[in-house]
Amino acid sequence: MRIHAELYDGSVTTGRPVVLSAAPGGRLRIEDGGTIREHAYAEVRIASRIADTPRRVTLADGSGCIATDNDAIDALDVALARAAPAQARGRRFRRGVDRLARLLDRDALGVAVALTVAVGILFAASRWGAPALGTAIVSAVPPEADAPIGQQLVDALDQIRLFQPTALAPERQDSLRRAFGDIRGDLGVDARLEFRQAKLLGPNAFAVAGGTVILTDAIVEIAMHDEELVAVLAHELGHVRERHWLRMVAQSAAIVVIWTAVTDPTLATLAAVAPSQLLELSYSREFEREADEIAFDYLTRNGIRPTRLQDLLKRITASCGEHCDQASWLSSHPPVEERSGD
Amino acid sequence: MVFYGEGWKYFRVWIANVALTLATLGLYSPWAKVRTRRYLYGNTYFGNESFDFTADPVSMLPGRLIAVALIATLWVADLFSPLVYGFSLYYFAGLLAFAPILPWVVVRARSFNLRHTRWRNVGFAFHGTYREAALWYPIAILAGIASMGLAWPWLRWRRDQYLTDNSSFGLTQCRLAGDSGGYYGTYAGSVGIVIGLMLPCLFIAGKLMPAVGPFFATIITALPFFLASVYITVRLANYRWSNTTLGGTRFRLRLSVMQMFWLYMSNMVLIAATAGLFIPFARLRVFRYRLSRFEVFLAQDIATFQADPAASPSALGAAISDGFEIDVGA
Repeated sequence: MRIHAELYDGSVTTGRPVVLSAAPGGRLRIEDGGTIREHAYAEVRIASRIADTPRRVTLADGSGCIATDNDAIDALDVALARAAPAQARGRRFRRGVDRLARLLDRDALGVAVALTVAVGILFAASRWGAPALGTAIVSAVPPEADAPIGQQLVDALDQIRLFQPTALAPERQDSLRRAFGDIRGDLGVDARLEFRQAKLLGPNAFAVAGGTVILTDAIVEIAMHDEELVAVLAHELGHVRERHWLRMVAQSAAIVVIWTAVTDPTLATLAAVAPSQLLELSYSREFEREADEIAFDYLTRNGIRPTRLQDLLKRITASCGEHCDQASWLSSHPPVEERSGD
Repeated sequence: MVFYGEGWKYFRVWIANVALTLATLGLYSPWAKVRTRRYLYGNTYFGNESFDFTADPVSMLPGRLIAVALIATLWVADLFSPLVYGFSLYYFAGLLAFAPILPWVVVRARSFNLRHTRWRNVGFAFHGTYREAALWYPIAILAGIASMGLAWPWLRWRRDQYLTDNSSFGLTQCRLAGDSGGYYGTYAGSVGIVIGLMLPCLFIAGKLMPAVGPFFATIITALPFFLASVYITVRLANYRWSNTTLGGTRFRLRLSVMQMFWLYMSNMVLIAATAGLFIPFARLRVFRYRLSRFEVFLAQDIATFQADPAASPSALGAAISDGFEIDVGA
C-alpha cells in the first residue's frame, strides 16, 4: 500500500510530492524525492477521518503530509497501530472517540442509529428528564428561599407602576381574604393574597414565587359570584403548592442546556428559538392542568360547582372581544374548551 | 475559493455530533466543534489545497467546563437576585465582574481559532495585546452607550482595525485600510430601514393578527429589526473584507443584503418545518453563498508565503500542552 501525498514542511507554502507506506515494526516510511526516511508510530499523528476531506499526517518536526485517499490512510493507521501496539496504547482514548464518531457518520445505518439516539434522548429528556430535574430542584431548594424572589417581582412591578394600589372596598378585600384563608388551610400551603389595579393586564390572577397570589381589580369586578373567585384562588394556590414557578425555571434551564449542546451558537441560535418556545408552552399547559385538578378537587370537596371557573373564563372572553387574549388571564391559560370540566 | 461540501455528507457529520453530544451531556461538544470546522474548512479550497483546522478537542474541554460553570453561576445569581426597576441586580453585577476578563477571553479565543487554521501547513496568527483589547472591548462598549450610540460606528471601526491589523498568515500581516465613513453609512442605513418599515409592518401585523395569531404577528413586527441586523452584518463584512490586504494580496466580498435575508428567512422556515433536521443544509447554504461572493487577488506566487518561525508547529505543540484552550464566542 503506497499513498501519494503532498508534504508541506511548515516553513513556506511550497509542497513536494511524497509517498507514504507502512514499514516493518510499525514504522511510517516516507519516500521523499531520492531519500527514504522512517518514523516511529509514536512520532506521527494521523488526523481522524471527516467524511472525504483531505487528511493530514503530522510528523515530529511539524511537517504535514496531506493526502486525499482516506481509505488507504485508514488502512495505514490500522497497520501501524497493529504492528506497534505499545505505542498505540497512549492514543487509545482519542482513537476510540474518533472510531465511535466514524461508526455513526460512515453510512446510512450509522445515520439511522445517530438519529434514533438523538430523538430518543430528546424525547426522554423532555418527557422524564426535565420534570425529574424540576422535582430534584424543588426538593433541594428550601421553601424559605422562594419568598424573597416573589416579593422582589411584586416590588419591581409596583416600581414600574404596572401595578397600582387597589381601589377595591376594604370589606370586599376582607371577605376574599377569608375565603383565601380557608383554601390555604385546606391545601396546607403558606401564602398571602394581595390586590392590585393593573389596567394593562386586564382581568388577571397570578401566583408568584413564595406563595404571593395577586388578583387584579378587574377580575374581582367581572366575577358575578364569589365562588368564581374561589375557583380562581384554588387554581392559583395549586400552582403555589406544586411550586410550579421553580419547576418552570428548572425546565427552561434544561431546555437551554439541550439546545446549546445540540447547536453551535451560529445560525442555529436563531432557529432554536421556535422549538424551545413550543416545548415551554406545552410544559406550562401541563402545570395548568395540574392546578386545574387541584382546584377541581377542592371545589367538589367543598360543595362548589366546578364549572364556576368556566363561567368566569367565558365571561372574560365575552367581555374583551377578539383581541383580548393578549394580556388577560386567558393568555396564560388554555382556551375554555380545553379545560377539564369533568 | 471554492467550496466542495455537500449537504447530505455534512448532515451525517452533524447528526453523529448531535447524538454523541446529547449522549455525553455535552462533554463531546469540543469534538463536535472540531469535526464541524474540519468538514467546512477541509472542503474550502484555495488553489489546489484546502484549509485545515488542527485543534485538539481534549485541550478545549477544561475551558468549556469553566465557561459552563460561570454561566450556571450567573443564572442562579439571576434567579435569587433583588430587582431594581425590573433589572436583576446580581446578574448585571456578574456581567460587570466579567468585564475585566473579557479582553483576555477575546484575545485567547481569536488566537486559538487563527492559530489552528492552516493552509498548506502554514498557520494564521493573532498578535493582539490584552491591553488594547481592554480598550476596544469593555471600555468601547461603555463609551458607545455613554455617547448614546453616536460614537459606536467609529468605535466598532477601530475595533475591527485592531482585530485585522493584528492578524497574519505566517509572516504576512493583514491590514485594514479605509475609514469609519463606511461604518457610519451602514449604521445610518439600518436606522433608516427600521424607521421606514416599522409603521407598515405594525399596520400589516395589526390587520393580520386575527387571522394568524399573536405569534406570527410578533414575527412580522420584528422583521424590520431582523432586516436591519442582516444589513449591518452584510454591509460591514463587505466593507471590511474589501479593504483588507494581506501583504499585497487584496480581497473582495460582495454579499447582497436581500440574498442573505432570503437565505436566513427561508432557512428558518425550513428548519422549523423539518424539526431542526435542515440545520446542516441551512448552514452549508450560507457558507457556500459567502464563499461564492469572496474573491482573492494574489499579488505574489501562491507558493511563497513564509511561515512565522516563532510559531512553528513543533514549538506550538509544547505551548498548547501547558495551558488550556479558550474558544468561546467564535
